[in-house]
Amino acid sequence: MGILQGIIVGFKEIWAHKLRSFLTMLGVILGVAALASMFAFVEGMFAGWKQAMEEQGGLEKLSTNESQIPEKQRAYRHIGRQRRVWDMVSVRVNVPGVVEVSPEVDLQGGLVRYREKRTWAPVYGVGRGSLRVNNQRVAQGRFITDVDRVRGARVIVLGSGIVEELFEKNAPVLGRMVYFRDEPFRVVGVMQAYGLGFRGMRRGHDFMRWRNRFSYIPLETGMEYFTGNKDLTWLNYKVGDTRRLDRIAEAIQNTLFLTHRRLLNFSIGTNVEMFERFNEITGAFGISLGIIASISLLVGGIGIMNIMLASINERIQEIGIRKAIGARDRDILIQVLVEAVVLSLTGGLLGVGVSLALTGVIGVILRNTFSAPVVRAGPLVFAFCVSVVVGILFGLYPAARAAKLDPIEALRYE
Amino acid sequence: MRQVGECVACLEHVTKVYSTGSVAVTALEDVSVEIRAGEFIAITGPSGSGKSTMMHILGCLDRATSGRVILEGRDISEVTANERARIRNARVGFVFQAFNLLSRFTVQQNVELPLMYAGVGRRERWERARRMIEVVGLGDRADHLPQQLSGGQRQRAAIARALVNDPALIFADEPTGNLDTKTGGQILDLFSELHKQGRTIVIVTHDAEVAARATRRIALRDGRIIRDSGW
Ligand SMILES: Nc1ncnc2c1ncn2[C@@H]1O[C@H](COP(=O)(O)OP(=O)(O)OP(=O)(O)O)[C@@H](O)[C@H]1O
Ligand SMILES: [Mg+2]
Repeated sequence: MGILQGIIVGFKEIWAHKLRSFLTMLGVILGVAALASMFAFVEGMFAGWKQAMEEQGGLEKLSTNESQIPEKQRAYRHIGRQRRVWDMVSVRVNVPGVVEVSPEVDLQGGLVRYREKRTWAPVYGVGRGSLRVNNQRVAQGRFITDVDRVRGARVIVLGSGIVEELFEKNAPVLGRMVYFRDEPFRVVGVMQAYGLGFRGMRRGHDFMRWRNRFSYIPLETGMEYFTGNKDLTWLNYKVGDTRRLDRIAEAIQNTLFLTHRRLLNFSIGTNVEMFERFNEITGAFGISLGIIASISLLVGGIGIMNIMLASINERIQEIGIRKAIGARDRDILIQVLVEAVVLSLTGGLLGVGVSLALTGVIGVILRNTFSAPVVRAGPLVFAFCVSVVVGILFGLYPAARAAKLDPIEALRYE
Repeated sequence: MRQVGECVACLEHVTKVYSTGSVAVTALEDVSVEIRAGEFIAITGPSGSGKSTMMHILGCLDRATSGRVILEGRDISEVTANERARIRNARVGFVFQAFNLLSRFTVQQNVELPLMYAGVGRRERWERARRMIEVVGLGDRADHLPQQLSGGQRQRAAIARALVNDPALIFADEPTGNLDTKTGGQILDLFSELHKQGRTIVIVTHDAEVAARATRRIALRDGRIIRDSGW
């Protein structure tokens, strides 16, 4: 007997006992739905987080932050130096793995005014390196240049969120004068909006709305007009090869150790820990969801086995008749197995459908966050295949039992 | 069709012992018999005398505990389960007292089943099954389910199924046992007709009238042949 015929007979059998089959399949449906959805959720979390990380510079970004001087060095505190531009220069010169540096000073934000409109913006003093280190892009005009810094130019690159608020839609922005803390600045560029068209994704909207307000002026201009000293708030770097991250961080540490007169009033920060912590979280999530999915698939499999054993018991005579007219053990085995697989396969298909519906609904609920589920074909196919494997595994025992029945005893069975 | 008188099946000193737990029941004891082509054999005997057992062993449905079983010149006592299934499928046909049709399939599908296991293609299967259904006189009932048929009609369908693979031997275990006298007579007429066409038939029966139609009568008692009219 052919497999195709077996499949047709299997479907007929399922159709003949619709409710029973559905209840049997329920376990598989839920198991597959859980499995496929789990993939989508974990993947969504991962993708969202990864994008957030990218937009903060990704793994390639290193930063030097202020740090408590260790106890032993307290006595020499007064000879310590703050992070200054020369730190940047010596890192550039002495550490070959660093491909870009970005000295930054936080101007604490303030009111930005254009004609009658005003709004609050976080503004930073930066150099041209900021763009590359922080993985940003300019949508219109240009970014801060070295010439701007040397001249102490009063130019500003506005965040897209600020432009939206201060300017009419489609009104020209470049070349206009805006006032930041009552100092006039000429607009030379507009930043690309985050989360909108950036890498083709639309997620994390609320967080991005905040990031989209960031505006930039030349570093030296910021120091001269607003902070009044030459200290940097951050000194960030981009490395070319993340595999050498540790070595490069160490080299930077050594360089700064010298420029800071051997006082450890700074620390080197990487995004590695964030990445690792996140991998742990997604891993833990995946494992617990995976366990839930496996348990429901197991339950589904047991349900199939149970129903197959029952249906064999109902059909012992039929099996005897089939054997009497020439069915081989293998034919009976295939018949029962196909029925089990058809059950689990149908359950698997329905489960994939349920998962699509579920991730769809949750995707709508979570659409403005980082965690919106990502549906890909691969995991769906995988979950579906798992259901087929479950059918085969749990159908095997009933099928073998049916195939082993003695024809005479089966015929005699009442 | 083989030569009349040629040996189709034979048992040589066959013993069958059923051991259920501690008790062993000897269903057949040292039975030797030879069945020749073209015979119409009636096996008679009281209940429990081993008639069905003998038939099952001859028809490859069951295995002898000891002794040799030869079917069409070949010793089948030791062949594999798959080969036994093939022999049941192609070389023998069974007709049972309880009809044993698959209730979820139509007459046509029931008759096609042995051909399906033989690997015959769809079209040929349909045609051969339909021809056999006509032969047994059920042409107008081919697409009915067994429940929609009378006992006699069901038995005709079962006979068509037994015949469809053109077997060397047809075994019928009390084929008229569940039928009234008139219908039973019609079924016997059908067997006689098949016999006249040259088929070899073995019928197990309690009924003296049935036995009277046969060309040879074998009587069993307590697992032994007590009388054999010879051929
Ligand atoms: N599976 C079995 N297990 C144990 N004993 C069995 C089994 N099958 C048959 N027997 C025994 O073997 C003997 C012969 O049985 P068999 O069915 O061949 O008798 P029979 O002549 O066909 O009887 P009937 O006319 O009632 O059908 C009986 O005593 C029966 O109890
Ligand atoms: Mg009997």
